[in-house]
Amino acid sequence: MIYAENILLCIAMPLVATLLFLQSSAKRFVFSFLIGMMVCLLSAYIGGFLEVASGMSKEDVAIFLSPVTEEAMKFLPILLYLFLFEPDEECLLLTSAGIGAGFATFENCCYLLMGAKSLPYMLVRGAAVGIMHLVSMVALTLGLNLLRYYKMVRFSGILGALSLAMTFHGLYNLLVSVDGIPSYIGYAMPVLCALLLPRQFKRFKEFTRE
Amino acid sequence: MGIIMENILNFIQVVVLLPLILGFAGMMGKGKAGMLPVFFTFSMLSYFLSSVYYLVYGFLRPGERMPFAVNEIAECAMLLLLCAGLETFLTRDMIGRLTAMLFAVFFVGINIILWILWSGEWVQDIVFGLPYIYMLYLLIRGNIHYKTIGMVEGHIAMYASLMVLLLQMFTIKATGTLRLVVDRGSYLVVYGLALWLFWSCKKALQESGVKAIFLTATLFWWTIMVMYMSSGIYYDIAEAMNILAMPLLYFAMKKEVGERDLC
Repeated sequence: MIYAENILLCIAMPLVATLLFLQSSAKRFVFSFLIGMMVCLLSAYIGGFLEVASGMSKEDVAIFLSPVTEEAMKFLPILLYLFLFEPDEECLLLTSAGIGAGFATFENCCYLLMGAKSLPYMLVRGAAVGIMHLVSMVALTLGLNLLRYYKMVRFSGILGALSLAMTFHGLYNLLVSVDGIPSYIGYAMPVLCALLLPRQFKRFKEFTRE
Repeated sequence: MGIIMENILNFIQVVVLLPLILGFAGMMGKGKAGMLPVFFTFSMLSYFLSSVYYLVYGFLRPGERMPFAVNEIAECAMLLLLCAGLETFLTRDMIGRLTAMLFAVFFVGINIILWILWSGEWVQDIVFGLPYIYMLYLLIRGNIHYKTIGMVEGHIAMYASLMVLLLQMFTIKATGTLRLVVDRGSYLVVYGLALWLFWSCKKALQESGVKAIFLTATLFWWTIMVMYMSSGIYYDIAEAMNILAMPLLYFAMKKEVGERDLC
């Protein structure tokens, strides 16, 4: 049997070695990618614990509780990074993209462990989940950057933005849990957001430059 | 019938929220609007997601009770982001902070106890009740500071709403005529307060933006509380009031942004 931890080690080791040869932003991205994968594993542990503690079925945990734990776990390193190191906007965005991408990559790898499906399905699922984790992280970071720009980094704003990401994730999970049209809508949701996000990012940059 | 009505109202809510979100988003980055429209846009977006989630859930899993209400997280987000917007009007050194906090904790605390007694979901009710406390705290401070309502009117509203809650609490096990009288009387008071707030908002919208924002936010908050206090047709009426309160919030914001640009 292949364990998730083994997969993590297999992917992480070459990346850890790569860190020795990288500099500045590339190094930051790879490091945050590694953090994202570890956060994914920790989220899976928490999900497993919640499944036992709540007595809910695996599917119900995935639909109702995973969005909460996963988004909170992804957000914690970003929040720590923000408050401990006070990075600039670019650095924060790069780190959050790395964490989102690492998380999505490891989740996709673990999904493979549950049994291989057809190539088109994996393509759709991989793209949708990959984009979903990335989109939620980048959108959250854009929100944080906006809060910092207006010097309004407060508890209510941060928690509000996190809750919004959780709901987006929860709605996605609910939709893709049912085969057919709902799942297609679910898969399309993050892709649509990904198409809208670069425009918002551009708008934000222009706005802060003014 | 109730479920159909609820879904229809939810659908209307989604339809009303869409142009409002676009309207709030249009105000972002304009003139001296600052962060305010950003918070309100994302707050309404959260509310939109909450309604959509509820509709989708009802469609995909009809008749099944949610083991964990994800849409309540969206409602929390909506309240917290509204709070973040309201915070921009309040400074730290404003007086009456302790009184506002005590009243908010006491008032929403009793509500939370009643929610727990009705639903039995104590962890969820306590956790998701906290943003309501914080928002009421900000609303009291803002309404006092900006003198949105008269002192006497404010006190009457405060005591009347408290009286309803205490009456409900002490008669929770009552049945028959007593239950009917208490319930009807309570509905009369809470809906009366909502109507009075509508009237006050209308007046404030002609006066000043900041006053209108605090009053419409109070109305919005109150209609949500009334929704959670009510059942059956009364719940639907409260939801309809909540839908009506949302455009008022938008007009209040529009007025405030307009006033800031004039300065």
